[in-house]
Amino acid sequence: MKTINKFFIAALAALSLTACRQDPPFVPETGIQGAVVLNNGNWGSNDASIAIYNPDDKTVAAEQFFAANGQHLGDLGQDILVLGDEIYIAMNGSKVVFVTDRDLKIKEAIEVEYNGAKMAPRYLAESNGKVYVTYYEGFLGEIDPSTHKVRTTAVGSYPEGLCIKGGKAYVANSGYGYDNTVSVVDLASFKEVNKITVNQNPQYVVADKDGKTLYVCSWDAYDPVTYAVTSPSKLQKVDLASGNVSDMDYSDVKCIVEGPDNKMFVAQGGYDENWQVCGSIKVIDMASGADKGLFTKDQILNYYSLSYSNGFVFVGASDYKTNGDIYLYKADGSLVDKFDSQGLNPQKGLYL
Amino acid sequence: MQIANVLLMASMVFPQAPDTLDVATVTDSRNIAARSSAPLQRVESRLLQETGTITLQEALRTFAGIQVKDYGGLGGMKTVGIRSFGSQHTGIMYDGQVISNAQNGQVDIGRFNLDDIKSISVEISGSDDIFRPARLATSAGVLSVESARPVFDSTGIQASAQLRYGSFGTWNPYLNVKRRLSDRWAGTFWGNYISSKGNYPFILYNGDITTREIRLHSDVSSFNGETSLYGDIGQDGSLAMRLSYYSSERGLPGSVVLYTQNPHQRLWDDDRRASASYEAIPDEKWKIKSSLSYDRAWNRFVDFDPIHEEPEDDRYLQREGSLSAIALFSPSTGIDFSAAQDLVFNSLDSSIPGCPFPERITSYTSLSGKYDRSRLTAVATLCGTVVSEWVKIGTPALGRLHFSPSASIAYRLPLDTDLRIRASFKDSFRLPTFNDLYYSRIGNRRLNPEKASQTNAGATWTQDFGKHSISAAADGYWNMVRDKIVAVPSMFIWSMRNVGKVLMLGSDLSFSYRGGFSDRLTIQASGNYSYQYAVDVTDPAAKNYRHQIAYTPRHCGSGSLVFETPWINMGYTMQAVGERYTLAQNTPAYRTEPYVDHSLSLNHTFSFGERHRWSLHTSAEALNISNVNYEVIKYYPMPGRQYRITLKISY
Repeated sequence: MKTINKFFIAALAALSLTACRQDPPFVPETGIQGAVVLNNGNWGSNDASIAIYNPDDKTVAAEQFFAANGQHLGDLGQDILVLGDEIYIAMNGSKVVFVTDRDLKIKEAIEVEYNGAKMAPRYLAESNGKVYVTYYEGFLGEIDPSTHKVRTTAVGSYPEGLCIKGGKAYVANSGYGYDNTVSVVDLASFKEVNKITVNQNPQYVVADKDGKTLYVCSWDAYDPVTYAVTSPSKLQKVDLASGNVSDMDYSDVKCIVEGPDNKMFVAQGGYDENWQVCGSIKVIDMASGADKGLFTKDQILNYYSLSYSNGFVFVGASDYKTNGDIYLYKADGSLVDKFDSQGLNPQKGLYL
Repeated sequence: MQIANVLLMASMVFPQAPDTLDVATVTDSRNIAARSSAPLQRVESRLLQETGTITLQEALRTFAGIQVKDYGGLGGMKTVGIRSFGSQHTGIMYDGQVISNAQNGQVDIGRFNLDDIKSISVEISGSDDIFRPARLATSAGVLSVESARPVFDSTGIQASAQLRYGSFGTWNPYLNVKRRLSDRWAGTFWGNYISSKGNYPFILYNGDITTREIRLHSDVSSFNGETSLYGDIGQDGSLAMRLSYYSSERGLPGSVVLYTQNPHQRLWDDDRRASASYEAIPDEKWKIKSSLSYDRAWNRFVDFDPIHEEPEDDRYLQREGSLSAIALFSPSTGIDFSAAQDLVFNSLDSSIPGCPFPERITSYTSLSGKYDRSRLTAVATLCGTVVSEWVKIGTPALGRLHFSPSASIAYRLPLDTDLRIRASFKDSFRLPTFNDLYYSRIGNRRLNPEKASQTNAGATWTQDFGKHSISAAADGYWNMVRDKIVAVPSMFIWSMRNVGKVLMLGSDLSFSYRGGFSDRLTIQASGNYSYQYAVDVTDPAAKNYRHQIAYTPRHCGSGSLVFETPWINMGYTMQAVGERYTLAQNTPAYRTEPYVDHSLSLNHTFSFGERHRWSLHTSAEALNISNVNYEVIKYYPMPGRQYRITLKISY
């Protein structure tokens, strides 16, 4: 509890600093060094935003995309990724992938159409100098950073998270709760070559560094009539050589992300006595699948998101009605700081 | 109130000069408002006509303490909230019948047609009218629309035909026929058709980027019709029967999403209603009223989002049957007691997977007493509500019993002028809606009602100075909402819970003046101002603790000015709304700008023909004349400047 109190004081300090912040315009940061947080916002509210945490003076600058460009990020910031001197931001509601420089200045707005309507990007991944993006309409896109042109190939229904290993992209097809496959796309031919059947409602996939084992995180699926959980969330392990899928002993799995040293982080969620969501993070060795124990002893109240970037773990917390919080950890599990994400629903962090 | 009722009944079928009645009711209604022991505001149809007001949302702008949530355009949903309470706490009454929506608790007031109404009134935190349906006692406030009952001259027939044209491709023909059928019976019919493209321009501000946009997919067409039969039965009995029909199709434009605009949702409505009410005065000490109604509300929602392989196509059918009986006993002058019993049946069928087909029977029983002599008016009501529910699939919510007490008092000070002080207290609640309880995965069958408590204190003043008259009211209030029903996020799904608590401290001030400057000029002016400190007090540790609740301006006000001359009437109305926040936490990113909306109307009625039986009413309005680009709901832009003209010929 003592540590929590310390975080609370740190958060208060961060808040009191930001309380002095006046109305827009916000001052843009340049030569960004520190933590970049993408806030998802509320559906239909065009309130996605980017905040930058300065680790030296422990301040958080709000609305940094707006400050850099004089225009809003738009609706539902789903994913953010850095590749070389470019940052890619997938805007699910606004149906655009923004490409910016490292100061968040827009270089390109990538829009892809299907059936005469723009497609809604979800998650991003990077491999071999290219950026890959899933589109809710059932496609995987490949963005060439030199031209910002996109080519697409069909995958399953409502694809969510993806990972790339050994020249293949693995895409979780959620089917909005009703699909149960992972598409395997060969990047050379850019065609789906296989579909692996997994637990219903897959959301995130992570592969070990040798491309031998794929880990799949699926969420609860419900019976549409009784609302009973028909297929509980699972963490599954897929042996890519044999195609064998086995269940791992984890319940209430919320998210998995690739960490350093062939390890991955697993976020699990439970409820505390007040029915508030309490998240806990574990570490798994991806080569063996062995549980390496808790990443941190902290219980994350109102757990919302988990991401890893450049040696730092970001755990987002949200109550969906006020600014979120970010618990920023080093990869060894030591807490750097807890700060206000300056926006609704902190979705993802990048460390630059 | 009794006087008004008697007047109404007397005027119903028997010939009477319309003008006499008009003056009588205007005076009467102002007095009722000033005498009321709880805040009451009323506007008569004549003032609506003179200010060029044709929709309920326009009319309610000039009411203190009332907020209309307006999603913009003719087809955009409009709901009405009282003093920072959610719209589900507002009871809505049309000609004495309660209009409700058990599915989501939201009644779209945009569909009311004001062409043939008598008055609109709003009561907050209590009422002096104790001769009415019991269920109204469970609402924090009541919006009541009263239609005009037929008044005939010797010809026994009245008819009017009207055509209205407005900006953004809006056509609105209207027909009204009233006929005396016999000494005791009269029949009426009206039909109103509206078709609007709704493609209004707006300016989209995205930081430094300003673009001119057109609201897409905001078209609406609707037909609204009503036929009524009025009869006098026995010496002091009156019967009214009515069939109503509403049908519409509209595009749902959704919020304006930056960088992409592709709205693809449509809504169809088909609402049929039958009602009958009987009122009688068996002897001078008793008055009874009973009514029966059946409402079948169907709607269809389609989402053509290209992301779906097949469009999402949902149907909903709600049924409501209601039986109400009221008896008023007046043992002596100024002392009344009433007992009212309502039985309401509701059901919901839908094509949504997992709809458990809920049914609900609610019994409302209220007992009221009223003392109204010389200087003192005191009213007390206790209402008991029992709810039982059934579902075809799963388990229903538990039965509930809830009591709603209210009391109010007004005292006329012993002065030369009519100055009264008043105080009222009311405990009310809103039941969880079918959506709150049963909607797919988020519904929670263990929900309790959301409770509202109100304490109001104020003063009213009216004074006649010969040709000039003034009335004013000032009220302050302290309200609480407990067990607020809110959607709470959890790990994978949201669920509805009773967790919110809201504190409201506020004040409503209003003023009106009417003066005859000569035979040829009468001026009416009115204005009001509301202050609302409405803050979330759920959790002291939350970032929004004591922040103003979303979409609630701290300051707002309105004004209207009418010049009546023999040649032309000119009406002006304005509404000013202060800054609001669109999120629970009041951060700069979620602040919305204040706005002022001005509207102007010019109108005149020509009479001609034998005994001036024919009249031609002409009216032209310019709304939002300063062309302010504002939003009531964030990213749902309101139309800018718009015009409309009306021609109405009546016999």
